[in-house]
Amino acid sequence: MLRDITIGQYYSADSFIHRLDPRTKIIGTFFFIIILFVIKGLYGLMIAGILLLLLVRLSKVPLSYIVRGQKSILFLLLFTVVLNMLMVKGEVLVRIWFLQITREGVYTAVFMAIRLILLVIGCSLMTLTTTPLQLTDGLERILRPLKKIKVPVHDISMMMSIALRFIPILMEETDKIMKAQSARGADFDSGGLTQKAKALIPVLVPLVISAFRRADELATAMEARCYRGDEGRTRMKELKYKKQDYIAKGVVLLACVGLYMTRFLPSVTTTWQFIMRIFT
Amino acid sequence: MSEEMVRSENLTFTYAEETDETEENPSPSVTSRKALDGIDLTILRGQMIVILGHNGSGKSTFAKMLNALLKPTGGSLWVDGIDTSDDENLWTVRQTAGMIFQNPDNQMIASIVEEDVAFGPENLGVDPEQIRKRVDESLKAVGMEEYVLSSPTHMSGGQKQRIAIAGILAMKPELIVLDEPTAMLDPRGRAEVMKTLKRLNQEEKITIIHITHYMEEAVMADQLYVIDQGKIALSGTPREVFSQVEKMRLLGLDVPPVTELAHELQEPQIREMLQKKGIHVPGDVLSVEEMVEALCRSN
Repeated sequence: MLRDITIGQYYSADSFIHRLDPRTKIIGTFFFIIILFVIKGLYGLMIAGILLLLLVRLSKVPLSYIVRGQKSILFLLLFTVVLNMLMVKGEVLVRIWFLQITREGVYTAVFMAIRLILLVIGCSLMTLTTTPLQLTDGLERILRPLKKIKVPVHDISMMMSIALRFIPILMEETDKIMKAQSARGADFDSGGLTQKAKALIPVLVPLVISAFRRADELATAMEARCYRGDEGRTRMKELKYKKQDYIAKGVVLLACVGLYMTRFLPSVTTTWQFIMRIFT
Repeated sequence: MSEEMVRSENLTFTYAEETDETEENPSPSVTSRKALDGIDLTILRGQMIVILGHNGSGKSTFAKMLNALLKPTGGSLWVDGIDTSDDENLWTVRQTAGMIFQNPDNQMIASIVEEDVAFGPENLGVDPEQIRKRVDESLKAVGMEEYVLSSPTHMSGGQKQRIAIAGILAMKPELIVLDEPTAMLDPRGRAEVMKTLKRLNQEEKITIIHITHYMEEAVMADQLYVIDQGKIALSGTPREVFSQVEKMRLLGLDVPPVTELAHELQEPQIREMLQKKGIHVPGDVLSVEEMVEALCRSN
């Protein structure tokens, strides 16, 4: 289960998307997320979905690889869907005791689900095509103005890149500890939720201790390699916008404007009614 | 450039240890433990040095002092003529004496090989173009040039450790200190790392200080130091050190199995028997090849 999480993992390939400047990708993803929540109709979401699929194709990352990473948000997805269905007021479709499912609720739920899925696919596309170091480099450059008001931008981005680097290592370790504890008779699968949570304590304690030890060793190794913060540090790959970045930014801008325009399209139901009226 | 790479005079390091409050000892106090106690040594440029010692002997403390991660609490230590106790020299010392640690995973900063190798020179403020060149050269020097864009996650321990070595090489050090670099590797990885070290020492003329507890690795050193309880217990060429089998045993260390065998053949009775048959085995055999040669020559 743990190995399926693809967020924060890099998929090595050579594509147009891979070659883009990380800043372009971060800003692009940022706009994509905003526009996802601005879109009102189903049309807009459909177009956004198609555009995203095109981007995935362009990135040469297999779609199945991304989809597998979605399993981890399944719970969140279900939670949102159920909550939306039950909480939104409107025309009641089904009523069970004090719970009621409304037509509006179902709409919002489906909407939210699609939004969330697109959002996560969009974000994983960014992290899959950008190495963590590029990603944090990009963030650092975007946030550089904040340095003037004493925000430790470099330190934050360094911490983030190290955190991302250690995700696979810590996951492997979790696996190992779980196996080791299973070998000593620990049971992770049976029992209720509380019991399962309790069973995780013998995994978490060694994991946290080992994470601290690793952090300590890593800090020593970084110091030994002359790391002393931001000052006097150069980069092997200085970030530079290229022609393709301007093109990509233009495309993103156009797409955003286009998607925003879908607000003014009639909704799917009205279109459907309109078509029906023509035929009858 | 002097011929001396490392020189220490009466080098001492004391860890301050706070004892916890217990029933027997109601007042917590700060006691000190001497990890290193009067180390005097001189290491020449271009040598391959091995430091042996069992756990807690102070050998790792010594390694950390070479990189100025720890400062001497007594005596002095010079690396390439630079005094390590002076804070102003801190970064020069660290650039001169690169350091490799035991766990390859815990010394990699980036998830892509080339970005990790570039970390050191980036910290030194080297020109971007120059960094690129150094990264490619260093990876080539450890034979990992095909892996520039790979992720170290799926590599073997030996490969990871070689990348760590490349990361140090990119900082252009005069000296590489390795603190049990092979302890977590399988025999194949160990051989890979040893081959790399040997090549760097012979072809790139880099001084190497290798801390280990594998006797087979110690054999290829120019000079061997055995540290016990913070003091140099034995020193000399591997042949000189390993011929003192009893003394090594007393220190809780083994000698290579072949050496032990050769040593046992020196017992007067056995020796007599062998000599009757015209077989002569010297007492300081270091490798199987040498043993074979000695035996063939006897007949």
